[in-house]
Amino acid sequence: MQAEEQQQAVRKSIQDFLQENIQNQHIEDDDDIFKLGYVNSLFSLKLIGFIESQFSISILDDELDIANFNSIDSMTAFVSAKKTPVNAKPVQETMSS
Amino acid sequence: MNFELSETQQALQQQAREFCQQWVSPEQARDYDKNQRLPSEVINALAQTKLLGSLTPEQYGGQGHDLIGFGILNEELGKACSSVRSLLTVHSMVQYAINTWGNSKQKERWLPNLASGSRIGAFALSEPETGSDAANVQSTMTRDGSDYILNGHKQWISFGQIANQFLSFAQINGKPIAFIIDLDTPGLSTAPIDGMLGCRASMLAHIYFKDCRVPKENILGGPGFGFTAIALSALEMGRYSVATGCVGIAAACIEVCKAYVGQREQFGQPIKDFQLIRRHLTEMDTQTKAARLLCHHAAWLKEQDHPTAVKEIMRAKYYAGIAANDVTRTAIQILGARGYSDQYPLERYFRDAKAMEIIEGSNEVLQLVLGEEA
Repeated sequence: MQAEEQQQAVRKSIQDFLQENIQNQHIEDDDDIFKLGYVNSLFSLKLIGFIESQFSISILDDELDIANFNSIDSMTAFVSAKKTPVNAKPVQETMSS
Repeated sequence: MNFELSETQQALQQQAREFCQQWVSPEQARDYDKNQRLPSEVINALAQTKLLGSLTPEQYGGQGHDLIGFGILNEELGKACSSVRSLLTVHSMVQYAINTWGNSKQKERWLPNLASGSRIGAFALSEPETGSDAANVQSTMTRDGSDYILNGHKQWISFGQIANQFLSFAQINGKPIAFIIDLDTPGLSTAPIDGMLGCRASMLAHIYFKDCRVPKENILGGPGFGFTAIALSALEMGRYSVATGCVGIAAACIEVCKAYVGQREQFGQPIKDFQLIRRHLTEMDTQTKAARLLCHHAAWLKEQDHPTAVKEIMRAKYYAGIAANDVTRTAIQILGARGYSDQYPLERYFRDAKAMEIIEGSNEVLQLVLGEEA
């Protein structure tokens, strides 16, 4: 139950962030925001920065695949998996380093 | 927004002017254009000034100038020769992409050599069948253990004849991916492209990739980020560089025309006293200043990571390209046959300006984007 609540909180944060930054568009949770053209060069950097800082995670090089960031669903799943303790990984090179 | 240049920006402007006086006089630029190449001494001298690393942070050996300063530098180089400015453009695009999207190891590995100019970088995106629709490049990468195997063909690559490394793009499983590839990679070959209308010393080349092995350490970002994030980040800086270079072209034409109309007499008086000449000069001057202001405004927005910065850089490039073409055409009209000949640099500016409506986003592509929210 706690994990589900945590996932919902992650989803809500991402929804709010996208709503704030992609104005005048209704975004469904499974919409591909890259394919829909809502992401430009500046926003892609901001999005990665948001995910790292908002959820206190470091995105590893191998995780920087668009499949992890192209929708609210995929970002929620990615962040939730990263925040699950069994997913702990050794420290590697990160985007923000 | 402050319109006065800081002391640092003024010093940068002066440094660029001194470099151009020594290495890129109108006569020298005419020779580079005719010979279709920039002599290595010019590139080495530019590297010595450290201007090739003007955008890169000092931490990685660059000068860490702000965007207004970078724009001023591009304007000064653009005044002298668009091919020299073009070298700064593509070389800075590569550094900017690495600094924005690279991890710390990649920055430490590549940026110091690029910033010092000991290695030259080029931006290799366009392909024979992929121009404006750049997200759909046809070069391919496949995974092979921890490496990638690259095949493809890039075209119209500025300074591809002399670059030591390329920021390039391919598809992996249908997703665009960005990477750095060295010139000496087995399977990579280049072929010069001659016969361009303008920017003739930009040393364009074809780049061929045949089963090139690219280590995973050379991947920038990840699968799917290659175009939207990395290519567009670099193109953003490229557009700003081209836009400010266009301001330089236009400003140079005005300098030539102002000197000419004061000494050229017809019907017993200097032609500057004719109303139609004054009208021409007014239009040229106003368009040039408007383009410069759009560039500075876009730079100011970009410095703040403002959401509209991307579009305002596009707008600056769009307008500056049109202004450069209008101004060069009018400048030739004012000088008549002299302007049409190579005894003045106007014909070169005229040819160079046309490229600016095609490269780093054609006018039509920019209209598609800018018109969406107009």
